[in-house]
Amino acid sequence: MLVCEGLKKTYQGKCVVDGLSFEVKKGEVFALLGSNGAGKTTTIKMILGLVRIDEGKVEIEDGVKVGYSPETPYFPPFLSGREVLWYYGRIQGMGKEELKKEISYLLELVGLDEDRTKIKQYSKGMLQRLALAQALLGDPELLILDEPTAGLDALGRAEMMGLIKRLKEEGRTIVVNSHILSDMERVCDRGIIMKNGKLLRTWTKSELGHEETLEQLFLLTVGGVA
Amino acid sequence: MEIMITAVKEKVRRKELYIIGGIAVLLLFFLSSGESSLSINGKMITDFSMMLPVFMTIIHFVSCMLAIVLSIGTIGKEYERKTSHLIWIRGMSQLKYHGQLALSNLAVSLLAQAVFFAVLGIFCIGQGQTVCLMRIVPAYLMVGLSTGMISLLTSVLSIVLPEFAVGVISTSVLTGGVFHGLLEIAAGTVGGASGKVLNYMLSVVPDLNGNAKAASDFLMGGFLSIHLILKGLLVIYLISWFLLIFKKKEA
Repeated sequence: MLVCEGLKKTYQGKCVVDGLSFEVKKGEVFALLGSNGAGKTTTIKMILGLVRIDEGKVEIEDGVKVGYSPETPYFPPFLSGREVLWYYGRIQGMGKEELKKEISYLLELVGLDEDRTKIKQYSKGMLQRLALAQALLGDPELLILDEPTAGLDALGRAEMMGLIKRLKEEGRTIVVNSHILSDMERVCDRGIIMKNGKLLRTWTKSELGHEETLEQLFLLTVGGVA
Repeated sequence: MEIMITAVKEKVRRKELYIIGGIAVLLLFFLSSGESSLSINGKMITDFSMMLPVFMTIIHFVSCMLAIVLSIGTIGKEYERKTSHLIWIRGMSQLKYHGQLALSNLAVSLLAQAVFFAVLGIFCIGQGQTVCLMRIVPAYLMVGLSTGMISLLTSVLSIVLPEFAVGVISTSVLTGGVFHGLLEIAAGTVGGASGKVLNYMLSVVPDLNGNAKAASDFLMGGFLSIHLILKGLLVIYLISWFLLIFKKKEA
């Protein structure tokens, strides 16, 4: 579904992604793990074409639609959730009738009421859910979620992880960027661990036995205290 | 046109237009109170035919300044708060994206100008100059050429330059355009390199004051200059090409 080969990105002389290669298979939930500054968000931006790739290439399977949920979504505060989805749906060329039905479905899926609450009254959790809803507009096969649980409390995180699981069961391929390892361990099939822009190792869920958690694996890999 | 409509709604909600309305009301109050002390060469201006060009100059200048204020941050903010990410990934071209934002700037700038012209209309009625009202829309459009030029210039420059630089350039162009006549005189008297620089600037900066003068002449019963209208539209057309040329490398 998605192949990244030898990705490299430099900002003002500093290499933030250095020779990164990985592959995401269809139908799996794939995690990009790393501490702050590891290069996870830059990698996502290169995949989406939001920043130029200095070296390397990204290949997404032909015809695959991509949805993206940013880490800190900004939506016009005077719009309601429904109006935000309408706005983005129309920008991507969706028809009015089709969009009306899809918005109702998506708002119900992410657990947002259909009332006229304006974005300025939204909580952090509601914003994250709306970000996920707009990423799902047009029914994309590949979803890229940048820190989907950032700033959420335990209940919010659990709900978001439940949504991701449900999306996986629908057959979507999901790339998740997060530093909350316990969440990633629950939903992800595979992933990579990054540090200073480099790939340290890949991991699979099956590798994690009963005795080793993802957190322990991560700390062992990046050289922290377990 | 979703981006343009939403951007206009956002600007209207930011209360800048209410401040503009307040300024316009104050202006009307001042001008109609009889306390105004406008004078030229020591002679008080009380006659409508003498006051109108002055008001038009003020409205023209303030509208153009407001066009800079209303247009300067729109595109930059889209990239600052990363709303551009959700537009870029949806495959919209930069031309369309920036074009819609520039159009929203233009629309709000013209709306602000309309507030001042509404005040001018009320002033005309108060002075018993109802004939002017019949001619106010074409006069508004004439001044709108200046507002449009300045708004569009500010918008396209903001794609590639920081706000401060855009403000300096746009204000310089506005000042050069408003004082075009004086600069022409200066260019004629100053020789050497300075004269050449001035002449070059005059060839690049349009005569914005000409639009204000043409609008006030028209309101007083004169004819609109087709040459000025076409020149204004040509300048707007040429500036709009920079929407195609200026591009962001990254979202």
